[in-house]
Amino acid sequence: MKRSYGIITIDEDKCQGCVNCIMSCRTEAVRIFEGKARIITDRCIYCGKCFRDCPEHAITSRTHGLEDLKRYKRTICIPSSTIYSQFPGEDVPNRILCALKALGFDDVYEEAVGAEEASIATQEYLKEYRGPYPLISSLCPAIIRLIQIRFPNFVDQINPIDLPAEIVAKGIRKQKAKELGVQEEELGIFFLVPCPAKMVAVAKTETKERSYIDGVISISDIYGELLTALREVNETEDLQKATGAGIGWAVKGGEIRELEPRRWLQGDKESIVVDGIKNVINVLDEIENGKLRNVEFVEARACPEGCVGGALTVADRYVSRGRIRKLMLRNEKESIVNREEVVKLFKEGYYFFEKGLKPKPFSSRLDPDPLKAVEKMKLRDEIHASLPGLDCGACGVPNCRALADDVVQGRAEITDCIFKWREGVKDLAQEVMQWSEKRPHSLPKRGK
Amino acid sequence: MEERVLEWDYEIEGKDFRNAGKVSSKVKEIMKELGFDPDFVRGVAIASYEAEMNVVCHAEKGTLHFAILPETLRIVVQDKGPGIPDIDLAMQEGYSTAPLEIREMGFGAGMGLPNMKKNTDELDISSTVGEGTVVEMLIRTPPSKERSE
Repeated sequence: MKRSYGIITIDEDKCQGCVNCIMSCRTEAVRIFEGKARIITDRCIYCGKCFRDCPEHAITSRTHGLEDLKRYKRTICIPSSTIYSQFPGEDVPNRILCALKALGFDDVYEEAVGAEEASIATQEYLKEYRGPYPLISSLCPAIIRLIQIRFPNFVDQINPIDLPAEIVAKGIRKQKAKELGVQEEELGIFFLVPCPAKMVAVAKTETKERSYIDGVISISDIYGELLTALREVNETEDLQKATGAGIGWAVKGGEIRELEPRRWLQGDKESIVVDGIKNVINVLDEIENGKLRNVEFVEARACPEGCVGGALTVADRYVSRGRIRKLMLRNEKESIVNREEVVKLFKEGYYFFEKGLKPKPFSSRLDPDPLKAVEKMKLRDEIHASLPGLDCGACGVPNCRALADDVVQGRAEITDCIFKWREGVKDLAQEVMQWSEKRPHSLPKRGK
Repeated sequence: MEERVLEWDYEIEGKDFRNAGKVSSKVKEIMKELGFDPDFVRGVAIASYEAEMNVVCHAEKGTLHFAILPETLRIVVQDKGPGIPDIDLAMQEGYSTAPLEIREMGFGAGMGLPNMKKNTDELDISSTVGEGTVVEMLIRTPPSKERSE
């Protein structure tokens, strides 16, 4: 049986109820219940880390596939730059773009070109930005969600420039429909993504009423067909337009690289590139505590090495990073993006989120009522102190503190802890022994 | 509100930069769990961090006492250390007695006490040279703790 949690699906026939996923999750969003993994969606940031760490490959996500192309008269593909890292060769980008057309798309537009526009827009935004610092990159939707649920006071510090793929889709939608001679709703724009976070950022966008993108297909889902198409592809067209500046967004540091050289960032302030959710949490914690100061910009990526480490990619993330770095060097050329045009659109507000992001605090608050929160905290700390502190996960909860949390929130019972349960059995056994010693006074004493 | 005092006590080790910030981080976590306004939490976190860092940078050891009272938060940081000879001077922005090696780590910019003052409603410092310092901070909690769902 398959159970869905938003865009994430757990195949319960494959799930063995082991503790790998609950231990892997950095936001403590997974529990084991009746032998199967369950996701607490309010806590999940859709990073896909558990997809990789599940030994049974029971956790996946999928919203669309190539079969959905049929639903539209004409289709356009926006491939994430990460796809260029999935196959070897410095000339691979154009071959991939041609192969995508062979798979049925009427046209392709690179996400990387949108990244070049986003870079310029961010540079312009930084020129006028006067705090609060740091400004936090908006390119990783898993990090945006992490901030919403765990660092709500940083929500206003997220760079309000939209995702590169949305920028591309917004730019071509009207014009392409006209060019291809179809109604706008007959045109299907598909985004090829490396991770579930980007999937959900489009499918359930919070920064506008409706996404400019109609469908999202993962790189891993299309990989096999693309590999076949690559073998037979005829490179009849020159489709690759993006330069190293945009392609570089697929790896960590790619965004900040475009902000550093021309001093869009101020020399006397620090900038940070951080990858991996645990590291990102540490950095944001230190900034919140005032320990890390004078930081102007943070590029934070949920996946180690950046988008090339996404859960819905196929190639090894370290090999992928090397490939992207080579492509960045090879494609150091004049951009097709017109800076003046982008600056003009930026001033009109074209690149901004259409709706502001909202905080969604979850992980920290114990109760909406402050008095109840105080009581729950006391009880939670008492329960926590009484637990063995092994963080074994056998109760289906990632650690003892989280179990204590779940108990006060009514989501678990103290006897879910096997050590507590054993203590209970022991106490009961002793009580049984005591009872067996008792006897009515009418009876003679034992042994006589 | 019924009479109820919630309080916590922590120890701070002098010159232990590896653990510096842990105590104020705990204060912050408690406040987050109790649902205080994020901006308010941030101000308190900064004030308690500065007080903690002063102990780490200058003193041998110290303690941080954190209490949630009906309408105020009280943070008392007490240390065994060199003391402050001239408190008025120490309150000036940019004034610092931190040794060079501590400044090289990015601390000791002379903003500690001014930052504490900025983020608290009442700041009371008493110090005896050669013995130690007591910093007491009072911060009024925001009128409404209700938060949008």
